[in-house]
Amino acid sequence: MRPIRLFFEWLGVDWIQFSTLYKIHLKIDFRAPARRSASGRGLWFSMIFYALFASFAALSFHRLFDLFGFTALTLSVSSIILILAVIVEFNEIILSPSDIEIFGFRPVSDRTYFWVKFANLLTYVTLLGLALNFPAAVVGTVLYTESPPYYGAVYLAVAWMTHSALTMALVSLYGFIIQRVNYEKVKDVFAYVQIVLTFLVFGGYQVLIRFLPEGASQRSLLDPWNMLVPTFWFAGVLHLLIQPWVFHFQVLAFLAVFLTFLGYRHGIARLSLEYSDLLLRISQSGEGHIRKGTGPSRLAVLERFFLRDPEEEAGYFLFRRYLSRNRNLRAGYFALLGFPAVMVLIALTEKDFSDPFVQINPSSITMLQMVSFAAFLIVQLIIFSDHWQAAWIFYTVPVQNYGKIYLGAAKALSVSYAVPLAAVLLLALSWKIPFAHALGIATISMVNFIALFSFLMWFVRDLPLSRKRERGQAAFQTIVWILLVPVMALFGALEYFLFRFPKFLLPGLILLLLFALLNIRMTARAIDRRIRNREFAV
Amino acid sequence: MEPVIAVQNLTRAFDGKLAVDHISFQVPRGQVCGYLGPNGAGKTTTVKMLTGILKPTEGSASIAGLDVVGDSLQIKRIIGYVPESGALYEDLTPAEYLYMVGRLYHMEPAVLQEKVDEFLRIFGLEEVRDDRMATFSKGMKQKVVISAALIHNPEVIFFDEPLNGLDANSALLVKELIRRLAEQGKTIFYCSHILEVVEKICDRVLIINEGKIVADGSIDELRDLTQRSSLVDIFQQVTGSEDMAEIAEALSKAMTGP
Repeated sequence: MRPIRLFFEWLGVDWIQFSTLYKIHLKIDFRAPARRSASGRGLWFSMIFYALFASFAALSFHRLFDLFGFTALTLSVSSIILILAVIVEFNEIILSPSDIEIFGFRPVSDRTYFWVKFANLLTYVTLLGLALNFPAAVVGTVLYTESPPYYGAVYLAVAWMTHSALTMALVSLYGFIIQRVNYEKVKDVFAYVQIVLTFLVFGGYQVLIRFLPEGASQRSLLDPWNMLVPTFWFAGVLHLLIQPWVFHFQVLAFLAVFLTFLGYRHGIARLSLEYSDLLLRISQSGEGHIRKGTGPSRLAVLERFFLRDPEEEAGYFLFRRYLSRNRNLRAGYFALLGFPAVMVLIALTEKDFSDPFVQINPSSITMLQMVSFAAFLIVQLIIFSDHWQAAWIFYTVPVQNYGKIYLGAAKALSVSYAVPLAAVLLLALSWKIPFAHALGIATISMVNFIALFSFLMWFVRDLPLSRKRERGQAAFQTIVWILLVPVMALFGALEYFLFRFPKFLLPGLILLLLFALLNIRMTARAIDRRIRNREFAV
Repeated sequence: MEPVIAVQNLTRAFDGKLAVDHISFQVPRGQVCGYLGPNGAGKTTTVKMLTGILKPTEGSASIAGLDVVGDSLQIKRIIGYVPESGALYEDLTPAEYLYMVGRLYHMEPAVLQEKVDEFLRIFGLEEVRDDRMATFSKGMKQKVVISAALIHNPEVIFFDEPLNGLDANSALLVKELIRRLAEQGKTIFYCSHILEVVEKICDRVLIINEGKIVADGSIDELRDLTQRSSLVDIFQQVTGSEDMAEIAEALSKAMTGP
């Protein structure tokens, strides 16, 4: 330990403070959600989820690209996911206003404080990076005949270099932006960056394969435009290490080393000072500006009809307001809306897109079904909030059916989601196919969405905005939803059936809607029973 | 007189450890009952059981003759609760929050709107009625929590450290309000650490220590019983915390180190 200690002391870090705080941060960060024991369950779930996702990506890319393309794309995917994880789950490392209240008056220097946070971040990057890159290292070594036996080891080393350099670049970017715009705006910026990255992770592949020429196999990605992507530069480093030196790999490797140098230089040499400045700004600016609200508006006639009682109304009202004002919820909502909308637009721009009532193209149908399948995301989005502790109020007021509060919130989100998306679907489809058919597709999608949502409500155990989002929880829930894929397939098959046999369209939709409404009544009661028997502990 | 709050052998354990240990007491209508105790004595746990947030491990309790477990819905209609840490949906405005809470009591929108306006005016929140509560001070948030507890005109009101974060004027307002509510026949259950306030506004004091009721009576009765003149002295005696000087001495020694 002595060399490490000397190194940190050389950096101006107080070693005793550093080691104490580093250990305590690790304990807190990797603690299982909502558990007292300090097991690393949250982290394990994240790692399993990322490894599964990375395996799928690696196997898919192997089929389509040569070794360089494979390296570059798998590095890109793992980097995007990692940066997303840093923004979503670790942004408090860089933007943590509460820390100033804990450390602000203690003799902890900014430099020590920064290194504690940074070491913590690097640990996280290393562990998740391992889960994200191990599948690609194995696939690259085993399935590509041209790769040397040590490809995997080199891949892991280069991946770590990529992730740490990009993380440092991100950290520098945080510092750069925070000096120019206020704290609230920075959080807004990151919320929207998060949406774009989410789309890249989950939709990028769909877009990518549609831009490839038909019948492409083991395709090279060495074209000039791709060379603008930083992860391709790091792929150049890897290829320089495993094969004879080629000029274009030398250029790419140079760019990668330059980016790493810049990232670290700005991160290490400037960030501790910038961080001090950031903390100062936060401590001085407090909560920031006051945003005007609208006051309790009278509900529109349609909403009055739509909401059956005060409990539904309360859930609806609360969630509508939060949807328009809460940054995290808004970001989630835009991702929710944007993803299926883009999928629909991609489906429509496909060369072989066809009217599903005339000829069924499975690829296009799958894209259109994304509209209904977003129900999976909606169910999750409703329950989480940074103001989860405020849910105590629902446990002290005379709520007759807790399920109705949830239902109110679900209606708020569904209206905000389903109505604009149905309009997009209708407009976009009318441009390609007859209006009646477009209306049929939009109706099927919406009814299927309601039916699927009503089914998923059986899994709801919480009131709206009543749960804290814990680190690793998103990954855990995604695994649960992956297990529900057969259900998704069933509802997908139902849509397929209605397209294939349009004479059953009307009775089919009526039956589906009846099923959904009946199911909603039953699930609301089930939700009520679950919540009523629970104690709300803050 | 029929008690409004009746508690019989009420017990609550967390992981096998008793937080509230077989307590029994009754509170008649219109009484302001102070509930005192050191940190971790079981005050908040008791109140949470009486308001239906926690379920008792053993024993029973009733509010206005209604059982806290079996009739919790009816009880919630007639009680108001100001919790110690009253978190709020801070992206709502105070007007929106109070409106939402009022609707959950099935109050008519027009009546509710008037009440919301009135509460905001009385608590001096009129100017900020359309601001998000995220921008509020602790005291302003506390005023919203108190308003939410009273907006439906409850019969029984549980206050758990209601003066937290309030400025001197607002604290005076709340104390005066409690007195008026008692005059109207409301029953008040008032938990606090601030003994001076309890001494001034409560008709009766219950002291809980380590989950057990260790004293019960009016201030005068407790004075006679313990032969102490102030509630502070009485509190120290019944909770066994009389050796404060010794503890302070030990602390100052620990600070200077061996």
